[in-house]
Amino acid sequence: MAVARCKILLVEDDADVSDALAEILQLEGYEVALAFNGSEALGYLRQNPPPCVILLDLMMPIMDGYEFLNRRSGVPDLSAIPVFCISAGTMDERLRQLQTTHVFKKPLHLPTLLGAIRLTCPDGGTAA
Amino acid sequence: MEIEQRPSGMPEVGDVAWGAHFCQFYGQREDLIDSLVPFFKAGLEHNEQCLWVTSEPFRAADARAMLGAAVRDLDQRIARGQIEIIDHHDWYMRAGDRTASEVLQGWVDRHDAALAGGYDGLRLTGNTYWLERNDWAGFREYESRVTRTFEGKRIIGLCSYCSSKCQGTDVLDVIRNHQFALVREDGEWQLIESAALKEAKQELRELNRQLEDRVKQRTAELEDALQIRDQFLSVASHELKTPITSLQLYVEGLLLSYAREPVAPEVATRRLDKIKGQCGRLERLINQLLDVSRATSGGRLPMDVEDVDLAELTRAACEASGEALRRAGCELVVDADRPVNGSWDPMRLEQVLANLLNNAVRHAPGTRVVVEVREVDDRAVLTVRDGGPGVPEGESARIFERFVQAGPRPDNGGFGLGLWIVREIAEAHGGEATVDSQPGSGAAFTVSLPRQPGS
Repeated sequence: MAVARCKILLVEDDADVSDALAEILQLEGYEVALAFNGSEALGYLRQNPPPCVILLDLMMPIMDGYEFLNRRSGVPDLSAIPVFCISAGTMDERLRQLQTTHVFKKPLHLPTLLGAIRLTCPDGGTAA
Repeated sequence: MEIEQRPSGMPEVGDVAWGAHFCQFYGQREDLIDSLVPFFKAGLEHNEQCLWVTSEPFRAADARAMLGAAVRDLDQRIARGQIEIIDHHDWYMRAGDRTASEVLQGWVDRHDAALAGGYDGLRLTGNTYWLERNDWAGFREYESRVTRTFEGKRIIGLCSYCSSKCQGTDVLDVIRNHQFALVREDGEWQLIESAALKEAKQELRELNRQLEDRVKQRTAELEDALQIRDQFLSVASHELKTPITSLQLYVEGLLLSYAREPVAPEVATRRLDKIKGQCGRLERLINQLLDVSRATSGGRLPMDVEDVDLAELTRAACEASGEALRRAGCELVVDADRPVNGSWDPMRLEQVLANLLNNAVRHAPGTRVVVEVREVDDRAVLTVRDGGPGVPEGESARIFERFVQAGPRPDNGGFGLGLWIVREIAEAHGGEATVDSQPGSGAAFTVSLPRQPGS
């Protein structure tokens, strides 16, 4: 019987970062869904079963990561999904206020990020 | 420059600046006591060397007694030469037949000696009671030169005039020759300022006010500049870190794959191409920063001019940006069929087009983007028109400034340098860059270039 692979929703506007990170996550055995901004991510979440983890870039056009987090907090199903933020910005006040969320700074320290994802999805990715 | 203020010792006068030369009109002996005693007390207490030339009705012995009552260690101060109190007879004997110039030079020498002796400056007073009618003209001439002599020196001079010995016009002469005058009226000292001083003070107040306004304005400008710089640093950090992140992820992905199994050459080539692409992206960002640094330090952007067909260059640039426009949902229309030749830097013009098209991708996604190249009055005119939200009212000039990101979203990416570089390049060719926009109905960016530089 096939084991259901853990799914990660990657919300990142930069096509190259998204492409490269998705490839690594797939290599690690995760299934990856892509969204290019907060609005696309909400759309995805409305129509699909919840992912195990959301990787969320903060600075994005159309709907940024902060706005996505605001909208998510009002929906119980969504706020149950762990979110790891990734940010290339400087440590500003808004970033500091995200106390409850892990923030990984770009450039990403991959072992730490992958370690955190593995801890969150214990039956996580089966290496492809 | 701050002008050092010294206490006059007289509450009606307050502090005075070095170089002060003022006078008093006294009626009786008591008037001299209650002005000159505090005047010299203040000088002695503030490390000034003092010279008090007395005259009737308040002679040197009186002065020593009255000042001694106010300054307990007066005798020691006299002994060590901080103050000399002398009757005008004796002073006159010493001065002899000196000319006005010699007397004035005497003050300067005394001032220099005071400074050399470690004092802060020189404070002096003279009483003109002894002055006879026929000396008046010469003395008036001397007084008129005192103010100029004291200028720039650390001297404070107070001249005492006996009211009853002055005729009407004398008073006017005296007031004119001093910066201000004190008059004893109903037991109180009243300050009389000359018109010139009043005017100068008024002017000073006005200058002060203007200076304060300028300081306020400059401070606000600096605060704005700091805020723009902070915003820029935050944006620059984001912009530079993004390609570094994808570069790093591509490399790590490749290493991860290799660790598992040999990677097929075509897969490796595809990933290495992406890595190369990120290096190019970083290089472009760094070149943008170098352009700013060059232009900010007063230089023009370096130009490499050759014969160029702007229409052909535009078609190629549109093709290069085509993918990005498609992904942003823009419909691209290129109207550049007829050659428009001129002498320009083709790399820089590609930069202009890339920046204008990128601007449309960021600010006008999902709209129709029309690129036109025309020849108008021997000038090449390039227009990029989008159907986006347009430029907010009042921002048309500002969007061409460095680090400015107009529009409702500040986090659209980019350094905020794109349009600034467009304008710099246009101006370096002797041309101009403008925008025509109504909020809500798109923006048309036009770059107009002379066909030959300098024409």
